[in-house]
Amino acid sequence: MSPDSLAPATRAELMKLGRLLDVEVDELDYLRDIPAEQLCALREQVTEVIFDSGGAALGRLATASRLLPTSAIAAIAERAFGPVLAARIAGLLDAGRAADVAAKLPTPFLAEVAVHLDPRRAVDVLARIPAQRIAEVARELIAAHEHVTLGRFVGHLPDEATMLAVRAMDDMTVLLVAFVLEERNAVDRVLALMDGHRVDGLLDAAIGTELWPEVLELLHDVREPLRTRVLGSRAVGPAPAG
Amino acid sequence: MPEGDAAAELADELGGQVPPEVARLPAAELEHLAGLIAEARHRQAAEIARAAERGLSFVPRLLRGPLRKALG
Repeated sequence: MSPDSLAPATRAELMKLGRLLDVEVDELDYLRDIPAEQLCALREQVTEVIFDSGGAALGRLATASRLLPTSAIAAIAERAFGPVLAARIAGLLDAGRAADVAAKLPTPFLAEVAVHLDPRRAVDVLARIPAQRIAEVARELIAAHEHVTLGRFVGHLPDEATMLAVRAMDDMTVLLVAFVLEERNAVDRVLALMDGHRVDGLLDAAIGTELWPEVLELLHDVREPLRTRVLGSRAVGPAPAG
Repeated sequence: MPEGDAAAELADELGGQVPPEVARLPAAELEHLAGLIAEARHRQAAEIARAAERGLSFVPRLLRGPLRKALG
């Protein structure tokens, strides 16, 4: 399968499922024609199964960690656990201590943790991490072309962190992330946080390219008056080139 | 394995209903998916046990006893 030939939402779901199951997307080729919303439902079920199946043992680890200073937990997370297990235990730790641990970990490691983290299970931790640090992690993810991971987080970050992360993205990255946002109202929220010039520049970059129909589809569900303000005359503007 | 059995096996693995379009896949693909989920669970359980042991080597000897107790 060429993952590039798939719709962004389908490709994103297959990538997320592949990561959960630790297999290449190619191995899930038989799922390529399943509607994205059903792939999302399947992936959420698999997330529950995998996160819950280790829940008791991870819960004991989280309890035991209370005996240790956060510097020791950070060393253990990085050198003994690795990013996958660190991501699975993060939401089980006390949120304040988890944020202290995150402060002691190198940014590249946090970016790897982010790839495997279910942000819904760590909202309280994310809210306690300084926005500047989140933006640093976002820069690592941008450099690694982790649009799918960035898209999973946007709906779960505080406004300031979202603004700084979006500011760190170039126009193409913003679009690629927007195509794979998980939360229904996340597009509205991101648009509302961006200044008008940035939105204009972004849309002008997309208009006339092969991305334009997908951009229009993305903006279709944006609430009014935001949608009209963002689109302006472009909704009936020049037809895509080609 | 007939499709119905394979879908039931996947539902068991998922702990709930299989999304309808997924449930219509051929039995071999449903079995493959159920197998991947089971493997991921087992791999995670083994990895947690190994990580706990590795983690103990990073803490002072005096604390290892209380930590082992807390780990059960």
